[in-house]
Amino acid sequence: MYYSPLVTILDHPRTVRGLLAGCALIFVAALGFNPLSWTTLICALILGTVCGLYLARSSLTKLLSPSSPPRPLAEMHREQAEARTTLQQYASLVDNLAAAVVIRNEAGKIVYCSPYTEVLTGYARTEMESRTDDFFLQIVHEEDREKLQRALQINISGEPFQFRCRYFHKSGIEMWYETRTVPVHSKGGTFLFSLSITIDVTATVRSQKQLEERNKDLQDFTYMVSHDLKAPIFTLKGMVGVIKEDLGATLPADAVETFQHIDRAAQRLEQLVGSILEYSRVSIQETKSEEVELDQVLNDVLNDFTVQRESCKATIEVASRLPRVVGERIKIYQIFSNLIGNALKYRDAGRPLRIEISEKPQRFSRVAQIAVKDNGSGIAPEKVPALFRPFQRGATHVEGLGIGLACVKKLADKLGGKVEVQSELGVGTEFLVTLRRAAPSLSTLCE
Amino acid sequence: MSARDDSTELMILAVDDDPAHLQITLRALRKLSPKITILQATGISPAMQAIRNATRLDLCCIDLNLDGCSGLTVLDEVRKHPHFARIPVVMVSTSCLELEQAECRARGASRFVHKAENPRCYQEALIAVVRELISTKCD
Repeated sequence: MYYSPLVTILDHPRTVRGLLAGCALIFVAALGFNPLSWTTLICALILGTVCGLYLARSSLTKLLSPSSPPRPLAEMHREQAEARTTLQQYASLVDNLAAAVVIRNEAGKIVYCSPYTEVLTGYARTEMESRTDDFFLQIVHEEDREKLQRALQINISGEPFQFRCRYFHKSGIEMWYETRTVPVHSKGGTFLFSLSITIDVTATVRSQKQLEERNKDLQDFTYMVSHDLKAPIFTLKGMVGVIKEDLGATLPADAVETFQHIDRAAQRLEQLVGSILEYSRVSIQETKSEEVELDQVLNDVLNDFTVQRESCKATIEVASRLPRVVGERIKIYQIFSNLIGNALKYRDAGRPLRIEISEKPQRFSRVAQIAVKDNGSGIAPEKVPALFRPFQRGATHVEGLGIGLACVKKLADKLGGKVEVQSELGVGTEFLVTLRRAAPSLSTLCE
Repeated sequence: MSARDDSTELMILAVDDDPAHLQITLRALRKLSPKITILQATGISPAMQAIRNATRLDLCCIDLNLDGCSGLTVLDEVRKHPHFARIPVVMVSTSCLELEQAECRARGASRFVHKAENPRCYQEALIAVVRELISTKCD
């Protein structure tokens, strides 16, 4: 049903006054001619209506303007229903969210806690909402109280604040919670309320602490290996040296040979201890994340192997443009240094060594895969599955301890990547190193 | 003052809880001079006793790890002594951790010698360091 324009016109106070005034004037004027004539009365009404319409012309203009058409009632009802549905959806979201939602008013008082708040704290919502002071100040760990107080000043600072705190659940258990608190303002900039969303991170924190303890144990073990194992090795070698020094000239040939065996065994033991140390250091060390130019890293590695390359007349070809990757430069250097060192060591004596380093195209652009391919002696198929385990060797005709590839795998894992191998005995080996690709730089995008 | 010649006596205190390591150290120190006197101590307590009873001490060579305790305790005792506080002290160890070397320097050690992979290299390094320290002390 439309609102009748006539009703609107008559509703307008100016219109009514105009009509009445018009009629009165005409009627008074008519009185002077013939007060009882129907013609006089009709003329008064017509002229009064014209006066009223003239006085209400601005309202009429608005009514008849095409820019503000009248809205149907059905549409308004539909919009109200949609708003109610949206409100129900958001209410359902907050009620079922596995996070505590807390709203504080401009005075800092808790006015709303979502149902999950009870799960996180063990306390009833009514208990939290009824307090004059902030409930969470009562259950926060003493050492984290200052952090929480800073968050509660959010209406003053006006800045979102994220923090991690310890609280005591009603059961007495110490829990770790992560909270993000944001101020909510009106369109005019007035602070309305603060909204805090809290999740339980206790499991994450405890895992981190366990990892730190394991790393500490590994560090202690490394120190023990560094000193306590090296000491008897030093003794072995030292005493053999003392015997040779004091009795070398008088020792029979077989005794000299015996001491040489002891000496070599002590050397080997020392190398093994060194390898264990190197492997455990790779495990312990933290990994930084930076963008690394693979071109530069490979250039450094090849420079460092100049003498070995020239001595065996090896050819190493590197693709013209290797990608930028994400990781730690020194670890990436160690990976390629180990692989190229291995290729030089395990070359086939019957042909000149050739090493090719290139990028393999990948289905997903987030990773980069680099191939290090050689025409060396290759690896027997039965040795490939265990190749990346410590002290496993692909070939035994060359001196080595079998820790290099284990370190390569550990390093690649720490960088969020991986290493794989394909090999054929007598033909050669290809190592595939997958690393995280860096986002393209602006200059690359413009090319 | 002129540098010491080989006829001058040297009184050195060598401290190591491992008898074999102590012997390797002693053999190196004896190569310095035929008229050298070496006091031996196989632990912290004997070392402390030797320092308190000594009437003369020109240099100390102390292993960093003594029976699971720190040889820096012996270094501290030397540095507190009214007569021997400024004598050269060489710390030795099979471990070569930078952190440990830094701590030795901070506590007043004159030098740090690593008991390297080859005992012969350790002996040569120890002899070179002691010679340098003794000649510097005399100048």
